[in-house]
Amino acid sequence: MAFALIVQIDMKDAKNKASFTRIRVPTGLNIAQYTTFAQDAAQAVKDISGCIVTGASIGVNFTFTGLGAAASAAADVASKAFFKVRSAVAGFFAKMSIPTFDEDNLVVAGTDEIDTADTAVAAYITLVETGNGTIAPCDKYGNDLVDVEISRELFMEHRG
Amino acid sequence: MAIAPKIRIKISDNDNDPANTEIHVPSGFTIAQYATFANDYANAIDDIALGRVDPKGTMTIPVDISGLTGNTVDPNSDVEQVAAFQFIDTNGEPVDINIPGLLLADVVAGTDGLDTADTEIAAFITLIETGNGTVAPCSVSEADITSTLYARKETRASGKKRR
Repeated sequence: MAFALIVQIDMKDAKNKASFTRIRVPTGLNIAQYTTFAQDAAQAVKDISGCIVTGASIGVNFTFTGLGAAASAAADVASKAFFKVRSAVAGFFAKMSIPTFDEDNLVVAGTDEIDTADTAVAAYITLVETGNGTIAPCDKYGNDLVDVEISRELFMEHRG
Repeated sequence: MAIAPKIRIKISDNDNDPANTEIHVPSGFTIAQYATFANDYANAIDDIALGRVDPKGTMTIPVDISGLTGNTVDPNSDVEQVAAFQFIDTNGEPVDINIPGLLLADVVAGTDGLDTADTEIAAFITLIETGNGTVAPCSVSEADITSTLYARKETRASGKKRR
């Protein structure tokens, strides 16, 4: 069964309390069409709400192939690979952390540096820096990512 | 400065504790192209992680709302005052949509029903039931929304911050 997309409209009231509303829309259309609908819906919602609309977004669901295998016994979400990636615009970076990182096999012995020579790590870094041939990742503001500056393992307690 | 779309992937560990990882991607591509990249990225993560990479991921695409008219906050607005709509889909299943910050002037005096004859309430209902000419809302299982069961005022505690 396909799952509908979500149009979310974010709002704040006079006390600065935040809330949102969601409207589901069918799959099969393009982003421009969803965008127009989201804008129409945001206006219609605004017209019956005293809140200010602070944002709107479209939520798309993906189903991946080749994934879903059980976690290994050593998997821990607090063990993370941290990457800081420089963008093409000076001063702008992206940060990624990968939970359950395989620190026993992918960290340089005696350090907290990730082994960037490892084939799987190198493939991940290449994907982040150059993309998959069609889409290349960017920072929050759309600046192309060009170079992993920091890659190290971290242990960060999760909030659960 | 516009915010780029964001792909989110969930990973669970051996205790089934979940965590997410996110990456931004530029705008301007098709959903199919984003799906391919997200699949590639999730599999690249799977190769360096020990946890269970959830085979379902999500992407959030920000929408420009700078063109909204009248987008100001009413001094009496309260997210706990909710316009609660229940619609019915083609399978007869209910679809709930709640709008925070209901303007109490849109409530029929002496009742908790919304004034569905009000121009703006009626416009919202029409948008949900019939769409904007291109996209028509639906249920989670993509059944088309066809009618309105009720439209009324409800009061709900906003509770903890939800995002």
